[in-house]
Amino acid sequence: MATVLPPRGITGTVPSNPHVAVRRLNTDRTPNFELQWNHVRWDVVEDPDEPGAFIFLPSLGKLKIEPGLGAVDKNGGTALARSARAERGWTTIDLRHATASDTPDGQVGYLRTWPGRGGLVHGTPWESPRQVGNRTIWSVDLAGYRRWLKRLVTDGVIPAPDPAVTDTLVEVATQRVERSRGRALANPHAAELLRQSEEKLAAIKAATIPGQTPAPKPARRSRARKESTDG
Amino acid sequence: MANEIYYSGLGDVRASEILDRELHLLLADRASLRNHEAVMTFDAQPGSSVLSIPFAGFDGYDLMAAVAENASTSNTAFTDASATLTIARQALQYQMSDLANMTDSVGVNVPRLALSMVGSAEMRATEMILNVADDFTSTVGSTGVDMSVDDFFDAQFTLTLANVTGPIASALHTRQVTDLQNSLRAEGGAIQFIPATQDMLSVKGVGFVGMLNGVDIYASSHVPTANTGADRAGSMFGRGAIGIVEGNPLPIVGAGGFVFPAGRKIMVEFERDAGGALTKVVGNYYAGVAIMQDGLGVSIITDA
Repeated sequence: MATVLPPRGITGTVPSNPHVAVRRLNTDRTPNFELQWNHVRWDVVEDPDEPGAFIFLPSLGKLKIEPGLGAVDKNGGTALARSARAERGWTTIDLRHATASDTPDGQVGYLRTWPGRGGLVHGTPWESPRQVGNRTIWSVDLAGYRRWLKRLVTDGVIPAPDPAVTDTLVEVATQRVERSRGRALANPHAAELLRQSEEKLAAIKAATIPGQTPAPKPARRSRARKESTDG
Repeated sequence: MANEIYYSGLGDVRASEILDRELHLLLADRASLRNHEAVMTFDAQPGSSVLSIPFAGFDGYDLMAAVAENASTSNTAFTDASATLTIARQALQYQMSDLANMTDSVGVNVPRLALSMVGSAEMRATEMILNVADDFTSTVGSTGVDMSVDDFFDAQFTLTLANVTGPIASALHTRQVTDLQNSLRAEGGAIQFIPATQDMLSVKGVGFVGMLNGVDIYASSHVPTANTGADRAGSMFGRGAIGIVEGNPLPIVGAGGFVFPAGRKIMVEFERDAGGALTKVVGNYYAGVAIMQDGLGVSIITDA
């Protein structure tokens, strides 16, 4: 069979640069997930909208959707996993609760993916990776994330913490101050830790629940000030 | 002077580069928690890929109470519970050409790839353990604040309050371990950190960094993040907090006539593509990990 050649030889094509074509993070893949809150997992952080003020915010967990992990079945089914986690008090936050105004990228939902080594890297919109050489550097918009959590509590998506939970946080912080006090007398580093512990205790005692008007607590506040000056 | 023999003139009889005879491992986290006594291991049972672990309130869960001599006692509700472990396939596959295999001079060949599957399965099990240990409902530590000895104590007190007895393990991210060690420098008195010695490493394995207050501390870079990446979620747990179920597939005759007897956890098989002169090395491991008793563990969430 005769070969038909183009009139002026074979035309070359421009190959794509493989280094440009493959753009992915040099980090391991991570499983898909749903964010969940739990009645007993709370933390005290600085209010992102009011520096110097402290608020209670939930410490979220993740239902990682990966076969074999936490009772997720072999096909990725989450019925058993949800049931097991629900028994332990976990409740899923629906994706739609992260609105476009909550996320830095203006997209709806709290789940984002990036191509990584060995598969997709799953994260939240408040995390942003960049590749510097062969290192993956993550930046975190912590204030934005806390603003979102604050809104969830304010809007009642996540119910306010039970007073028993907040009391436990105070108790743990008080124990820590008491432990540090004895060491601080002879150890300058421990003295610094004591100062930090006292600040943390004062913050927990003064912290408010987002969306709730703080009740007047004159006795508590004066105690907090006293604690912080004792050391 | 002329005709000296220089290296630069020996292009036909010298190689541009040669590989050292000793092969070194690429940097990676190889700390395994799978065999620690705090992690309970189960074998998968025939009939289902879901294993339910039963718990019963025997031997002191319910206490007797004083009853008047002439009064009738009433029934006490018996307490039981169960945890669910689901087994799923975990796998890894390499494919090597005959040319690549036969030109090997340092040990990167098909048999070595097959051997490497053991470590890959071991680390997958560890990764799975760490990925459930971040979700205990009890937590200690503060977001954005470095891990300290106080966080470690808070975790230990939480377990003590919950009547958790040993053996207890603590799995921390490498960042958390360095922060803890930094904090330890300020400690004095009765606190004793026992760093890992060669003998301890032989027993406990790579990743064991030492013992603090009787708790085995393991460092791993597979400890997951928390709070949108701002923190790491390590853990401390007693025996029974976390369970792992592993499958033992029935005897299988693989390609090339290899027989894998029942009872082995990791199956490594070769698959031959004669047309392409390629050999696949496939490792299969069937495992599932879950929290069994939430009260036996605590997550340690501190700055990443």
